[in-house]
Amino acid sequence: MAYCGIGKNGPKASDEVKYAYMLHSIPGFGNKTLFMLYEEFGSCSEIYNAADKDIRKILTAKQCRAFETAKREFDVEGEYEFLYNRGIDFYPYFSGEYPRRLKDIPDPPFGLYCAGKLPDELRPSVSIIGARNSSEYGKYAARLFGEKLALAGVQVISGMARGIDGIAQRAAVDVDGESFGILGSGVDVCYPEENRPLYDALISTGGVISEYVPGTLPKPQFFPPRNRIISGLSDAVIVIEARQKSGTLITVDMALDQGREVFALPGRICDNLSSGCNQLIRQGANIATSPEDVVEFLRRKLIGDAGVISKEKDGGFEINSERTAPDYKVSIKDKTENSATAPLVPLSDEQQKVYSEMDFYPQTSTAIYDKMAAKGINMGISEVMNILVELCIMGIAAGNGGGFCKKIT
Amino acid sequence: MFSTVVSGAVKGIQPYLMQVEVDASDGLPMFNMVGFVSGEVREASERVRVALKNAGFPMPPMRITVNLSPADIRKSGIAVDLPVALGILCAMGEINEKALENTVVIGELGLDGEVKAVNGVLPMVTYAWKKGFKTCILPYDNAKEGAVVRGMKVIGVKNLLETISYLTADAAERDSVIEPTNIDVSMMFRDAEPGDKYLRGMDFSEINGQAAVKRAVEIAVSGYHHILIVGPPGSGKSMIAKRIPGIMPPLSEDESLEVSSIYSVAGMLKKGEALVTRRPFMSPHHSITESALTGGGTIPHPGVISLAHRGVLFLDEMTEFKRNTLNLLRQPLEDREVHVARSGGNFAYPADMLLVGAMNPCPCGYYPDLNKCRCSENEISRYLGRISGPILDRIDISVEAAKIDVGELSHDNHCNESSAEIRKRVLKAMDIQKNRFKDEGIRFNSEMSPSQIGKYCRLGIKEQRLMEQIFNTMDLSARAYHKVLRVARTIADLDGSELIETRHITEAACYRMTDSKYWNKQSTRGKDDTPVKIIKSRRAG
Repeated sequence: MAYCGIGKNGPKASDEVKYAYMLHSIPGFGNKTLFMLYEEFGSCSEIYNAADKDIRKILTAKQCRAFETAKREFDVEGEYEFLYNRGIDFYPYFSGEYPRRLKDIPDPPFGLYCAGKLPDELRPSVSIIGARNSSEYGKYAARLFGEKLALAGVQVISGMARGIDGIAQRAAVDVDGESFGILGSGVDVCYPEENRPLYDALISTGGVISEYVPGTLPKPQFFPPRNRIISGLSDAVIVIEARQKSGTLITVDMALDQGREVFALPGRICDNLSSGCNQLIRQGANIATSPEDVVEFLRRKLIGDAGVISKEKDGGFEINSERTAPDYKVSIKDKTENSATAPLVPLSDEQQKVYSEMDFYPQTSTAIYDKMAAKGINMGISEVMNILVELCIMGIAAGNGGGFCKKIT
Repeated sequence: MFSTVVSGAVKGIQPYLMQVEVDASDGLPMFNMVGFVSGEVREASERVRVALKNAGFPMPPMRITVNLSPADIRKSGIAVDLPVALGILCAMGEINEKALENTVVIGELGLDGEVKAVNGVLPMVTYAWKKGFKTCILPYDNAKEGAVVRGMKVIGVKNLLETISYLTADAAERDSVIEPTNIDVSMMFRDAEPGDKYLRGMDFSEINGQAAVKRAVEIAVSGYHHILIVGPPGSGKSMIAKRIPGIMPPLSEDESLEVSSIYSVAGMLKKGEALVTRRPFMSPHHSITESALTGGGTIPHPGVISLAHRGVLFLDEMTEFKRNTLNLLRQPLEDREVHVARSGGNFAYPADMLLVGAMNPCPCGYYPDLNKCRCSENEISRYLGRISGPILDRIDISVEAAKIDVGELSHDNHCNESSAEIRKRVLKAMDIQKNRFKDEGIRFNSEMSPSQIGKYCRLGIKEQRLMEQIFNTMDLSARAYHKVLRVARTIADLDGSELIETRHITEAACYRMTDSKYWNKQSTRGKDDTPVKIIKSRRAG
């Protein structure tokens, strides 16, 4: 498949893009069909203008009918302009702007819709993925990795879902980093609705990307395929928290198929939410003990990709390539403090007693009270509750779903 | 010949007196009942005829007309057999009408002349006493129920013949024919001191662990706050709920009369039982229909919420109740009585109960234990959404029941507090409230209006700041504000503290967290995923 050298997007976009959009939005035309047609006819306008009998050789009867209808009813110019005016760009596979990273993967999407912008080809990108229901530990790690990687100039890619995805992207956006959300619906449909603020922020600073025609509502079957785009657009995938047999691990499988590096955040062996990560580590994934691990990997990878390391200089690398390594602000010196074990705020004796029984997993006040009683610490249940609320107010604990857990800030 | 006998009946729970007028005159032999009488009441005529015959008083071949007055109340689902029979006997001259002066007659007849028990005796007799009647002739099985009314002379009769011999005896000798039923009400209440006889096997000391729930329940009972217990299956939610009546103060005599009246109307007083002396505990299954819950039907009967009057209404698996059914609780929870309007009339049943709800935190029951729970957030919010906001608004306390370890169960339980100990504290807190609200027309902290909250829940500067902090850091909703204050007031009362202090507020806030965390999630979810949306306008020029 040759590059056709299509010009800029916009109303002046070449007819090829417009025809591609028309073909892509025909119901029943999947990736496979589109690529087959493209291979056969060589360009989208050729497909549009192809003779009936040639088309029939490739398409099923149903698809032929859909194609006929679309030809009759679809205003190629007008519809494209409408799309453009709604702030959505369309990048077909053969366009010059189509992400290079995606071209390498098996089963690339024929076209991508994007609100905002596409990830920068020259800058490293990392996807941070994980469970929707996550522990405080997972949330903390998602925030930490999202923020530090964004500060290092890494583009953070994820699915904008509840839980880990959203938290990591939020953290990246909050430090003015760039983040890209890959959706399982049209790019104009914000799902889940509670991530609307994040959605808006992504569009204005990074981008929201989908292979589905705008207006498509999210359906369960759309999510696994979009995972290949998440991993495909990334240089590395970081798994924060995942159970065994979870959707997150599907993304990891795809990442491995695509030859992406996989990092997993280690967890305790007794936590189900970390079982997927620990399994990945056992199978040889990289251990993500800090964002610096990932940054270091990206640095090496980019240097390796660029092929040229001119010389070592001041403990850093000077790279001579069109794909320049970013200006890493995170150096080994200000390596992240693991503040998880001890809060920075001074605690009273009583508070300390309660705090030390807490965990990153939520527990009810009764459970904490029972644990203390088992140790012979004599404290009334109301006093325990008082202290728990105090800790929440101090910001070092969180009341989560009725239970209380430690919070890492 | 003409005669009049006074009888009673209930409409809803409201008793009324009824004149049973009987006239026997010459003409074609027939038996007619008039006075807005429904079909099933009309059947009385047949029973009366046979019962009279079997008692040895065949009906005379005359034109007999029975009128039930007042004629503007529909007589439906009531028993008038005994008064009608006695009225005919009076009209026939078998009984001197004087014998029935100042007497109310209530009862149903069997064909053999047996007098059978009827429902609603207690409210009827109470009402008759108020109207100046001094004697009641009641079915033997209802006699104790009627004898509760102090001063009323109650004659419990077993059959028609006995009744006739009583009424035909000389006034002076009557009491030797049938001895009036007497009952010592205060004695009954002495027996019914909770914590001893009937609560055996239902004591809080049997519950190991769940310290937070026990504490929350104590607060709920003290201030009459409705409470919701959220917890995994098998954590002892129902076990705790069943023991709640045991820590409530014993039923007072007045309360007992109210409750007994309802049970009497519903026909739920046990045979020979005079009064309900324990706090009711109603635990309807979640398949309950709307009219069974609030009361209703063509002939309205009290619903489960009225049967729980002055006691506990326990809704186990609250999310499994139909949404409509639950929503019916909104008005009764506010007004403490339920108004049922049917074509047969409007009825008000008292429904002043403590609502105790129990539910799982998610469909599988284990959230937030992420090691076990795999419910998606959507499933959880759908599950919780079955309890509507207005119902939640009326629940002041929600508390999380912890998962129970097996080790916890095998502990010795003599270190657990008994119900009696908890009740002592509850009573103390209730006394404080009684004093505080004696001029306010309310009884409990949970009933405080916003202006009363302003008056009785003054906060110091420190406490005020704490409230702000709590609301900012723990994202509680604005409507939680008053609830936290009400509950804090009760906690302070339990503590014997005049002022609400910081520790009372923090604890009260604790009882809001469960629902703020569970239910706030829902509220952020909008529904406007309209497909076509302008993401940003690009047409600058």
